Amino acid sequence: MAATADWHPLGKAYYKKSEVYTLDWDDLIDVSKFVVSAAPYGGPLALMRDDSNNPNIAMVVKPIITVYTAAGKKISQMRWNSGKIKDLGWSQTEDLLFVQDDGTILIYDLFLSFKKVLSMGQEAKDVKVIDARIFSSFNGTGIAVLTSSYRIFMMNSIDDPRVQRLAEVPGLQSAPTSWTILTMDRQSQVLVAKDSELYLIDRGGQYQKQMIDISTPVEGFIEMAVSFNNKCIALFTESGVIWIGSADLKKKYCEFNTKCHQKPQQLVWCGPGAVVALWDKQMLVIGPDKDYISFMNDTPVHLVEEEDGIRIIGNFTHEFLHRVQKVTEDIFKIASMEPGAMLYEAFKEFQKESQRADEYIRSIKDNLELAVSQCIQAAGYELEPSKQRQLLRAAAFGKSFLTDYNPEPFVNMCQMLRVLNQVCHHTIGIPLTYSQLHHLTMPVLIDRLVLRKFFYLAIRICQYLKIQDSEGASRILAHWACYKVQQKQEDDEMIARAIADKLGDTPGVSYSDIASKALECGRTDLAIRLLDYEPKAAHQVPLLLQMQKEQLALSKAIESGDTDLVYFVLLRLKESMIQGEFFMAIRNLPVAYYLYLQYCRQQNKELMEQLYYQEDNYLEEGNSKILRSFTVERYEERMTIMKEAMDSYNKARNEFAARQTEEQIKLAKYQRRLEEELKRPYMDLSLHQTIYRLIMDNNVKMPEILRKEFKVPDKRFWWLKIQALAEAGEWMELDRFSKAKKPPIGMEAFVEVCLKNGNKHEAMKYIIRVSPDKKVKCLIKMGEFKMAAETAFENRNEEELNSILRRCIGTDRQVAETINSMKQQLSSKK
Amino acid sequence: MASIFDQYERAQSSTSSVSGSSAGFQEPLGPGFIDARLQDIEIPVFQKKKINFKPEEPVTHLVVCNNFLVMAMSNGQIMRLDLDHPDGEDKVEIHKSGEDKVYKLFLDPTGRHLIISMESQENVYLSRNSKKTRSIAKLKGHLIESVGWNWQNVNDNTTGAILLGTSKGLIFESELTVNEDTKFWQGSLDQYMKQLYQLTAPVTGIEFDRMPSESLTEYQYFILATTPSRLYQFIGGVSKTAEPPMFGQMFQQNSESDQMPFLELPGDIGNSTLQLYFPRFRGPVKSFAWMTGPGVYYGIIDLSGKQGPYSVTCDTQLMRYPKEADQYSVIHPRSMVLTEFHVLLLFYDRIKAFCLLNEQLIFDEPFPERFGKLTGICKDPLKGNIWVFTPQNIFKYKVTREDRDVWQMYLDKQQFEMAKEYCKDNPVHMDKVLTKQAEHLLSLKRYAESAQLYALTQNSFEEIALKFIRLQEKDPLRSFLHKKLESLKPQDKTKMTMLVTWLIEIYLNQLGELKEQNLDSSSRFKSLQQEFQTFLKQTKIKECISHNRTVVYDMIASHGDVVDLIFFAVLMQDYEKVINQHIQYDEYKTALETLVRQSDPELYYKFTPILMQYIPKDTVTALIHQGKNLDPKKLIPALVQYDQKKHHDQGNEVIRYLEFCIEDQGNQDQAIHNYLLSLYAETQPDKLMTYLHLQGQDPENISYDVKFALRQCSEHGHLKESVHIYSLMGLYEEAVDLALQVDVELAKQQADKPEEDDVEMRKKLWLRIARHVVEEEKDVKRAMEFLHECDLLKIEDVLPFFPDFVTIDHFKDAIVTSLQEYNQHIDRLKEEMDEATQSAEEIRKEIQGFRNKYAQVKANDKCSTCGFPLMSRAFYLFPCQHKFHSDCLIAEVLPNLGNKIRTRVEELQRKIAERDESRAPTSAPQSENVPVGKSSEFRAELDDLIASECIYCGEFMVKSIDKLFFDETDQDAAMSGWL
Repeated sequence: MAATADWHPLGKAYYKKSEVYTLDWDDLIDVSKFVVSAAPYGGPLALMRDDSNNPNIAMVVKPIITVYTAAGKKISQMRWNSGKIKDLGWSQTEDLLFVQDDGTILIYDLFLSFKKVLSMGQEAKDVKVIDARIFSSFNGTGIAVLTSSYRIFMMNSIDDPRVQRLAEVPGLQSAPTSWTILTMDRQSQVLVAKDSELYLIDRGGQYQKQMIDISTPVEGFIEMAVSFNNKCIALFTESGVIWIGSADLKKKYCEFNTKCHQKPQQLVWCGPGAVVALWDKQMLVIGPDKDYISFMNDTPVHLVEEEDGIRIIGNFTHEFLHRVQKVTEDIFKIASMEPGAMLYEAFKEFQKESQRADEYIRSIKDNLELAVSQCIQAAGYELEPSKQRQLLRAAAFGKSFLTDYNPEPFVNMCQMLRVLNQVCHHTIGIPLTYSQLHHLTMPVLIDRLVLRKFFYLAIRICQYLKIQDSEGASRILAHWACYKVQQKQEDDEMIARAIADKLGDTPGVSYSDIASKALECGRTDLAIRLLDYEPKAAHQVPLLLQMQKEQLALSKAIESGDTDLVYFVLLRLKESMIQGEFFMAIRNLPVAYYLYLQYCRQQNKELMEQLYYQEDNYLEEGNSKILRSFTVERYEERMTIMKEAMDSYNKARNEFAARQTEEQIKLAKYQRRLEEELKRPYMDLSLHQTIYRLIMDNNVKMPEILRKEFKVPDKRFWWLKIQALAEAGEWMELDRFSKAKKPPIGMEAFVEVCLKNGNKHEAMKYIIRVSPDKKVKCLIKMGEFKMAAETAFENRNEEELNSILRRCIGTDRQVAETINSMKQQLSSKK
Repeated sequence: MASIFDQYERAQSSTSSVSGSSAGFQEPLGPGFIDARLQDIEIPVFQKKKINFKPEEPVTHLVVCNNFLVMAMSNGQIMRLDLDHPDGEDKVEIHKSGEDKVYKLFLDPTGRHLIISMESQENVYLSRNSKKTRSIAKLKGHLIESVGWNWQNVNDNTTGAILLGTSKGLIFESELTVNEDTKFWQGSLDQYMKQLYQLTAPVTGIEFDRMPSESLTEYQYFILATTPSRLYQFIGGVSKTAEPPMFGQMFQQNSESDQMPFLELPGDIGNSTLQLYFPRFRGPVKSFAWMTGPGVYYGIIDLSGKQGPYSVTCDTQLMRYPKEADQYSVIHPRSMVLTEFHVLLLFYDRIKAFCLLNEQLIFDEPFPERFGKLTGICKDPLKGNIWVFTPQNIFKYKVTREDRDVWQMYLDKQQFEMAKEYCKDNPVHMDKVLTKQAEHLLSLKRYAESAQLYALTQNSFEEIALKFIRLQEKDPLRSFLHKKLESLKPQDKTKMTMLVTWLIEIYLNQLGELKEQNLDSSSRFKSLQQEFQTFLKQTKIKECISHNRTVVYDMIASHGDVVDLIFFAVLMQDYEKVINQHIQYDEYKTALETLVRQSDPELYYKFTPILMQYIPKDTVTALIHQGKNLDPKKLIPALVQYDQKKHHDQGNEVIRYLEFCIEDQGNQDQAIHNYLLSLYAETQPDKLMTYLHLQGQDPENISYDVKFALRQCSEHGHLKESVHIYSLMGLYEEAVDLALQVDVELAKQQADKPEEDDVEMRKKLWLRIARHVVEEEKDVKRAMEFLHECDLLKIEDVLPFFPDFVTIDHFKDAIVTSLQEYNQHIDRLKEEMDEATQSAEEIRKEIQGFRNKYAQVKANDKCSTCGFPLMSRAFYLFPCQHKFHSDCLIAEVLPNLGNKIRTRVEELQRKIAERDESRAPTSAPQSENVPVGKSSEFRAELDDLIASECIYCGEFMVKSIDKLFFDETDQDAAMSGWL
C-alpha cells in the first residue's frame, strides 16, 4: 500500500519523514550559513547569518536577524547592532532571547521590537561568556551561560531574573567539552563533561562526578542531548560512540557506534524513542537498541526538537520526522488484522462499490467500536488532510453501524483537525501535530495566534470551538485593542471607531486599560476617545487626569455623581491651578463648588471664610466667625471676632442676628467685669445662668442691673429668682419674696420648686394660696390623693375624679371606693 | 574675521613675501593638463595668527610643548596655559624668589616637567599638575643653559634621565621625579645630580636620543652638546637594565682620550642653539640645525652608525646668514627654529624662513614695533606649531604642507626619485618630473627606459613618436608603442587598432629586412618571429585585430611570408583559409590535419567532397572521430558522389561512416537510414537483418522509412526482412501470412507479438496458423499438440477447421477436459452467487430491524448548533444523538449543497410553507389525513435532501477539516479591520 511506502523501520517502531512546507523564504538561504533557532511547538524561526567559519569577511559586520514563520514567511527583520551574540533562542512565550558575550540577555518579541534586557551578572560581563544554553525549566524559560573562566551562571526563568552561580568544577583548565542542562523535578542541574569525566553541578554549590557504565573507553564526551521530556539523555563521545541512557545516568539503554569521529552538528531526540545525529547532510536516527536509519538530505538542514518528533528545516523544504503511532501502524500495516484496519478496508471496498465491504464489517462486528476509535485516533496522528479524511470517513462509515455510540470523540477530532490544519496552513505557519496540540492545550495556541496578530482567526477559532466569551473572544479583543492602540500610522478617529465598533459593548473588556495603554505610547486624544466609550467613570477620570484634561475629568466626575471622584479631581485641580482661576473654574459648577465648600469646612475654615466673603454670603460668614469665636480662649480676641461677626451680620442686613451678637458682647463684658471683682468664672454662661448664679451668690444689685439692661421679662425673672432661692435653700427669703408682690406666675410655681427640692411641708404653706382650679393638680403631683378627691368633690367635676381614679388604681383600695362612692353621689343627683 | 587692524596688518605683512612660486600668468601645466582648479589662492607655508592674550606683566620667557604654554613674567611668576582647554590659565608663584628674575625656562616635550633656572643660580622645578614650585637644591649655584630632555620617556611623573648644561660648561645627568601621591603632603624632589663632563665654554645646547642597536643587552645613545663655538658629539652604549644615572660610563670611556673630536666654527654671537627635528614624536631623529656665528650649520642625523663611532651627522653644510642690503654687516639672529625643510631665524624685528634644500629665503616677515621687540621663538615639538612672543604679544605660526615645492628643488638637482617622492599625488608635477627624466635618459642614449617613461607621460604622442622614429634602430619605437599600447584602455579600439597595425608593420619590416640579409635562419630572426607571434597571441591584440583581419591579412600577404600568414590564420581560427592554402598546394593530408584540428562542421561539409575523392579512408576516420558534431545529413551529398564501379572501397567507407553514425551516434535521421538501408540492400544484404534487429521493434523510434524499406526488401526479394517490417508496421496478419510462406516457427513468433490484452487479434493469428497447420498438413496429431502449446486456442476454435470428421477418437479427451473446466467454472459461479444472495438477505433483515430502534430526547436537550432548548421548534433527530432544529439544520446544510439541490430545497420549503398555511387556519381537529400524500412526500423529499446524514458526524464534517476559516478572498477584508 502506498501509505506505508515512506515508513522507515527502526527496530519495532516505524519512523516517517513527511514534508510540511516548501519554504518560500525568498532568495537562496543556505541553512549552513545561518544560525537557526526555532521555537518548539511549531514556533517561528530566527535566522542569523553567521560568518564565524569563513574568516575572510571582517568580524565587524552586523548580522541581520530575520524571523520567519515555520512556513518561511518573513515576520520581521532587523540588523543586530549591539555586542556579539553567543546564542539565540526562543522562550516559552515566543520571545526571542539573545545572549551576548558579555552576559546581557536581550529579549525581543516576535516582531523584533525590543522588550527588555537582563544581565547575567557582573562577573559574566567581566570575563566574557563563551557559551550559552537556553533551556525550558519547570516555570518558564531559563538561561545558562558558561564564562571564559569556566563558571556556569544560570537563570532559572527569564520572568524572575535571579542569576545563581553554579558550583565550580574542580580543575577545569580548558572549556568543558560539552555541557547540558537537566531539569529534574522542579530544579535544573547542569551536566558538565570534562574530557571523560561527567560532573553534575547544581545551584547549591556541590558537584558530584557521574559514573556511567560505558563499555568502550572514552576520552571525551563532545556532545550531550536531553530528551524533550527530560527522562533520557544521549552522550556522544569522541570515538563516535553514542551512549543512550536515562537522564539520571543510572540506566543504559544502548551504546551505538556511529563510526565517525567528528562532532555532530546537532544531536537531538526525536520523541522519547530515538536520537537523531546530524552531520552536515546526513541524519542518523538511532533507536534504543542499536538500530538506526540514515537519511541523506540534499541540502544542509537544521533540526528542531519537538515533543513527538523533530522538524527538519532545509533550504527549500520544511519536513517533519516523527514516529508512526501504534494506531496508524495497526491500520496501515500490511495484512494487519486489527479492527481498525478491517474497518478501513471495509470502507475502501465500500467506495469501490464491491460487496466485500459487508464481509469486513461483519467480521469486526463485535468490536466495531474499537475500530472506529482506532480510525479516529489514527486520523489525529495523520498529517495530510486527504489521509485524515479517508480515516474519518472510514470512522463515520463504521460509526453508522453502531447504535448509541457517543459521537463526541469523532466531532471533537474533526474540530481539532480543522484547527490544526488551519494553523498549519502556510499563511499561518504553525506546524503542530495533534499530540503537540494536546500537550500545548488550546488556550495556549490561541494566545500564540493572538501573539502573531491573527486576531480574527483566533476569534473565529474560539467561536468555532464554542469557547465561551470571557476567556475567548473578549480576551482576544482586548489584546487586539491594545495592539491597535500601538499602531502609530493611523489617525485616532479611525482607531477609536474601529475599536468601538469592534468591541462594541462586549462585557469583560474595559476601555480604560486600553486607554491607559494608549497613554503609554503617548496618544492622548485617542485615549480620550476611548474613554468616552468607557462606561465606568471611576476608571475614566484618573486617566483623564493624568492626561491633564482637568475640565473634562471634572465634568465626567460630576455627571458620574461620584463625589469623591469630584474631590479627587478638585484637589488635583487645586494644586495644578493657581488659586484665582481655580475658583473661577469651579464657580459655575455648583456641585463641584459646593463640594469644595465641604472640604474647606473640615480642612481650613478661614479659607472658607474668605470664600464666603468674596461670595458676599455674609450670613454664613458671620456664622462661621461666631463658631470660630468659641474656639479662641483669649477674651479680647473673641470680642474682635464677635465684632467682625456683628458687622458681617449687618452687611447681611440680618439685624436680629446683629442685635443678638452685640447683646452677647455686652453680656461678655459684664461677665468678665464680674470675674475680676468676684473671682468667679462667669464666662460662656448664658444670661439666665449668670443671673441665676448671681442670685445664688446672694448678689442682689447685679441681677437687677442685668434685668434692666437685657430687658428680661419679669415672669422669667421670677422663675429665675425662685429657682435660685430654692436651690440655695433660703426658704425665708423665698417666703418673704412671695409675699412681696403679686407674682406674675401664679403660686403653683412655688409649689413646683419646693417639690423639686423635696420638702413637702414648705410646699403645703403655698398650696393654700393656690387657685382652686389648679389645687387638685398640685395635690395629685404631691401624691395626696385623698385631699385631691375631697377638693374635686367640693367643686363637683367628675373629670378630675376620673383622672384621680385612673392614677390610684393599683395603689390603695379604699380611696378608690371613696371616689367611686362620690361618683355615685354625683351621678345620682344628676 | 579679526579686526580691521589685523587685516591691515596682515595685508601689509603679506605684500612683501617673496613669491617664490610664480604669480600672474603661469603657462599651461604641461601637455595634456588643463587647469580646472577653482580656488587658486593657496595658504602660505607659515601663516601667522595672533594669540589674543594680554599678559598683565611683560613676558620674559615662553615655552610651549604639547599644547602646554608656560610663560615667565618679569615679576618672576609663571603663568601656565593648557591650549587644549584654553580657559584655565593659572599663575604660579616661584616661592620666595623675591626680586630675582627667571633666567631660562625648560619644558619637557610632553609638557609635564618645567625647570626654571633663576638668575640667582637658583633652580626650581614645577610639574604640570602641581601649583607649588620646588627648588632643585643640588643645582644651587649653577646657571642652567640647556636641558636635554629624554624623548623616550613615557611615564608622566618622572622626567627619566635628562642632561643639564650649565653656563660653566658642566654637563649634569639627573632625573626629577615628582612622586606626589595623596595631595596634601609632598615628598622631596629626590633627584640625583651627576656631573658627566666639563666643557670649557657654556653649554648652549644639549640633546640626546637612543640609537637603534643590534645588541640586546645595551642601548646605544648619542649626545649632541654645543658651546658657542663648538659642536661635541658623544656616542655610547648603556646597558638596558641600568637604572639612571646611566650616562656615567658613557663619559668614562671617552674622557681619557681627552680631545673629543669636535668641530669648531669661529665667531660666537653669544647665543647659539641646537635644534633636532623629529618627524614623529618618539621616532628616530632625522635632522639637526645648529645656529652659530657664521651661520646655521645643519645636517642629517644618521643613526645607523655609518659615520663612524664619533659622529651621527652626515651631509652637513653651513648656511651663512645672508648679507644685508649693504653687503657687509651680517645681523645675527637671536634664535632659530628647525622644521622639516626650513629654518626660521628670529631677528629682533622680523622673522626669516630659509629652505634647507636650496638655502634661499622663502619668506621674510617684519613685525611692526607696536608689538615690541621679538624676544624669542620656540617650536612645539609635538604639535609642530611655532610660537613667537614679544613682551606683550604672542604669535602662533601654523606650518601647512611645507613640502609643496620640494619636488621642484629635487627636480633641479636631477634627483628624480626624490622629486617623484614629493609630488606623487599631483599628476601635473609628476608628469613634469617624468618628462625631465625621460629626456635625461634619452640624452644618455638609454632609449628603452626613456621609452618606458615617455609612455607614462602625458605629452603628445606624435612628438615622442617622431623622436623615436628619427633614431636609427627600431626597438625603442617598438617598446614605446608597446608601452603606449598597454596604457590604453580596452574600449578605445581605434587607438588600439592603429597602434597594433603599426606594430605589426614594424615587425613585418624587421622580419623582412632580416629575411633579406637571409639571416632568416639566425637566432635573431627566430626570436623576433617568436616575439611577433607572442605579440599577436596576446588577447588584447587578438580581439582587436579580429575585427579587421582583412587588413592584417593584406599586410601579411603583402609582406609575403606565408608562415606568419598561416600562423595568423590559425590564430584567428580562420581555418578555411588555411585549408584552402593546403588544398591549393595539393597537401591533402595536412589539409585534413588542420581540418581535424578545428571543429567547425561547416568546413567539414565544405571540404569532405574533395577529401573524399583523394583520401577516403582518412576522411572517414576523421569524420568518425569528429563524431557527434557533424550533421551527417549535410554530408550526404559528399558521401554519395561515387559510382561504385571505379572505387567501391569508398562505398565501404561510406557504409563504415554511416554505420558509425547510426551505432555510435544513434543518429535518427531518415535519409541516413534509408541510404544505409539501400546500400545494405544492394551490397551487403546479410547485414540488413542485423541492422533491422538493431533498429528495434516499435515503429516510433525506428528511423528508416518503413515503406521505403519494405519496397527495398520486397524488390530485392528479402522475405524474412519484409516479415520483420510487416510485424513492425503492426500488420500482423500480413506478417503471419508471409511468415507462413517461410516457415511456421516464424509465424508463431509473429503471432504472439501483439500484446496481451487484445486477445482477439492473437486468437485470430493463432487461428490463422492453426488453420494453416490444419489445412496444409492434414494430420490431426500435430494439430493437437499444436493446440497444447498455445493456451489461447481451445478445441472448439479449431474444430470447425477440421473437415467433417466422423470419428471422435482424437478429440475425446480434449473435449472432455475443456468440458470439465467449464463445469468447474459454472460451479464457482454458483457458489459466488449463493454467498452474494445470503449477504443480501442479511442486509435486508438489518434494514428491517433498524426501523424499530428508538432515540430518546430529553426535555431540556439543547440543539447542537444554537444551544437553545430543542423542543421549542421542529427538530431533526440523528441516530448519532445529534439533535438540530430543522431551520438550524437547513441553515447549516444549505450553503454546502449544490445549487440545483439548494433551489430544490427552497422551493420545497415554499411548497410546504404555503401548504401549511392553507391548512393552518382550520385548526388541528380536522382529521389528519386529507391530502396527506402531497405534503408528506414533499416533506420526505426535503428530509432526504437535508437530513440524509448528520452534519457533525458525516461527510460534511470530514470535508471541512481542511477548509480554512477564512479563505483568501475575504482575508484582506477581514484582516483589514484587524490589523
